[in-house]
Amino acid sequence: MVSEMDPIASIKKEYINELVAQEKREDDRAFDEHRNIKIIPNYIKKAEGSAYVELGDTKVIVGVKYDAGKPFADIPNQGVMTTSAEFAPMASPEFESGPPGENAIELARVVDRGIRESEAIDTKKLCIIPGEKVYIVFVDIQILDNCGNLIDACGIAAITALLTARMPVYDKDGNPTEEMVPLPLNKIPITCTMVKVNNKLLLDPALDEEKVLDSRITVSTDDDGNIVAMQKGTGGSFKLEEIMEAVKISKEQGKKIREIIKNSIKEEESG
Amino acid sequence: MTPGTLVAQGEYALGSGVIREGNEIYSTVLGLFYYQDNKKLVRVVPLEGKYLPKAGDSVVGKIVKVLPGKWLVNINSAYLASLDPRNALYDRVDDLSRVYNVGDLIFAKIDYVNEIYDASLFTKVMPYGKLRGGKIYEIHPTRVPRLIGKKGSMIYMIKQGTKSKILVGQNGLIWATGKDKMTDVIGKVITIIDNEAHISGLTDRIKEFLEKEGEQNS
Amino acid sequence: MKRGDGRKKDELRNVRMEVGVLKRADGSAYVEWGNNKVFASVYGPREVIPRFLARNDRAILRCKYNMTPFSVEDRKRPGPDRRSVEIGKVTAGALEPAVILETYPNSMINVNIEVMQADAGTRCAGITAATLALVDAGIPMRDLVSACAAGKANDGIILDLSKEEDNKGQADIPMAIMPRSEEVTLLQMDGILTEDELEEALKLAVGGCKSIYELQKNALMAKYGE
Repeated sequence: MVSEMDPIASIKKEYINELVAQEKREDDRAFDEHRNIKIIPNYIKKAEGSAYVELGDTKVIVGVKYDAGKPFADIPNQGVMTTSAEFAPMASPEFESGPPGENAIELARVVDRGIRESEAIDTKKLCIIPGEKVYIVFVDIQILDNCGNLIDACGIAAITALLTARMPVYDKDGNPTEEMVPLPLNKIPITCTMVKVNNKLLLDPALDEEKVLDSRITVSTDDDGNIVAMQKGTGGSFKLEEIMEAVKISKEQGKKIREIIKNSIKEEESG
Repeated sequence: MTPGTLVAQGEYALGSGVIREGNEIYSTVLGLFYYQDNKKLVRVVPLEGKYLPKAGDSVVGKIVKVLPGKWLVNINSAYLASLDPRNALYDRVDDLSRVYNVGDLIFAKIDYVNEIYDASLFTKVMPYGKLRGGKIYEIHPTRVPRLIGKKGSMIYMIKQGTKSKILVGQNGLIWATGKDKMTDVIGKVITIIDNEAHISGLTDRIKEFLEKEGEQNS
Repeated sequence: MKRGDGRKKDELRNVRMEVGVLKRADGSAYVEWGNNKVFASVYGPREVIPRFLARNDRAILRCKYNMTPFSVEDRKRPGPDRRSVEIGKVTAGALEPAVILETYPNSMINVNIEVMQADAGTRCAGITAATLALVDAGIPMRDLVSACAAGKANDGIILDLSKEEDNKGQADIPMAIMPRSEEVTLLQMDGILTEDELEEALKLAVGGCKSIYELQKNALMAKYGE
């Protein structure tokens, strides 16, 4: 996500390093503070579930569609979730159309792991007829405006979209009925990303902070404060203590974001 | 010595193959440690590695492109070198490909290298210029100093022993011309040096080998 | 706690390494780690292709991770899949901090990792082999990069999960460090762990990486018969 070609990056680096040394950030946030989060659940009526999310100026939409299909041979009685990300050229001068590049693939896989590994979705309940028909849940990420930290914006949008998703109930013969039910979700895992700049961890990096980062770490946590996924991205390195500090920050922020998501859904439902 | 090995602590001058982190000096390559007492210089001489162009080096290169105002030359490095006609010819020539064409081998001196390793070459005087006939050999660029030997002693011994003309490029390419049997011997000698450069007693082994081959082929 | 293959909780599988196994490559290595068989090769520094990726102040490092179709139980479809692309990216991120890229401005270093047989832990074996191949290519490095995973299986925190432990496992944490500073350069995790369990696993993994480091040094020295 870092543009090597950006002419201002090296000038910015000095400036941001200096700010960080003074315990400051360009937008006056604390080091462990997210930018403003705005969530519109059920944004796309054509999708089974969806969410529009703004994280600062970053804007993303996640749509959840479902299909019924064959299960994987090694897990015949479990449904399938699959996550993809599209870096549309509209979202950044650095994005180009074509098949997903390594940044888009990494984003999709990090968001996917954050949800999958928490076992938030009871995939056994996504089975229609064992060995023959299961729900296949597609989580599609669309970036509108990349102003930094796509991972967290997409993570929030993905879990919110899944929380709003409704699936038709199938009858014994494997035919869809009129009855719609929510996805079997039992947790709200939250993914938090930090970057190391001048030996400090900054939560939710804005674009400029992302461009000058030394290294990046993402930690996903669940409602019980367990760690469910982690990813060090880009070059650079972390000390063990820094990793544990990132875990603590992620747990704390996860709680706050979880409440914001719950509230946004409550508001949307009450109309 | 492997990369990351602590080689010294304190006030020393840094040669190649080492970095300083605070008071500590660490090796950055797989190689042999050397300490030069008079300069308080520490360095690790690498056993492996690609050639990095350096001004003053002689290299064997291959013409890969003829442009309107210069030749581009592969010098067995990460970087292509360029040869300006003014560094190759005394007179103006319109069609550069009539002097050196794509695929031609040249022996050249590196005249100048900038900080991003753009090297310009020089072939105006002997022994530089086009290499005609002969054979080409390869050696790890890191072993070239052993092939040349102290004050040229090793390469002199090989030239004498094989009665051949040999041009050694610092970039690990060697050109030689002589009798067929002798150029084969040169190939074998180069292989020995390439494989055993780090094992002591190299000069004696080469001397012995040349004497034995000399007897067989005389 | 007893493990399926009789190992202690902090015990590695058998690991064997060899440096300089391929003729054409500028540097190469082979790592056998349990039943994993992994080759790594390095080409470069060489000319940057495509040209626009070139950087005037340093070399660029590109990593490709690939699994052969015959490396797993069911034939894998040849070519890059999303998992391979991601592993290539995190591998580059794991190696980059150790490589002194500034030595070779305007050039490219290619690292290729080919998994011939996969049996849990291929990315750690790949990073371990790639590091050896980089050194074998003579590319200057601040330190080696040594990799090893820790995780949780049968409710215990253990080092270097086997295939069986990984399949039924509760968490897996592939990790790589620069042993001299213990700076972590690769970190991924999936599964469910408490904060305390995570910390225990990370410390176990550091120990595993350090054992791998010793084996790497031996393999490098062995190439020159010392």
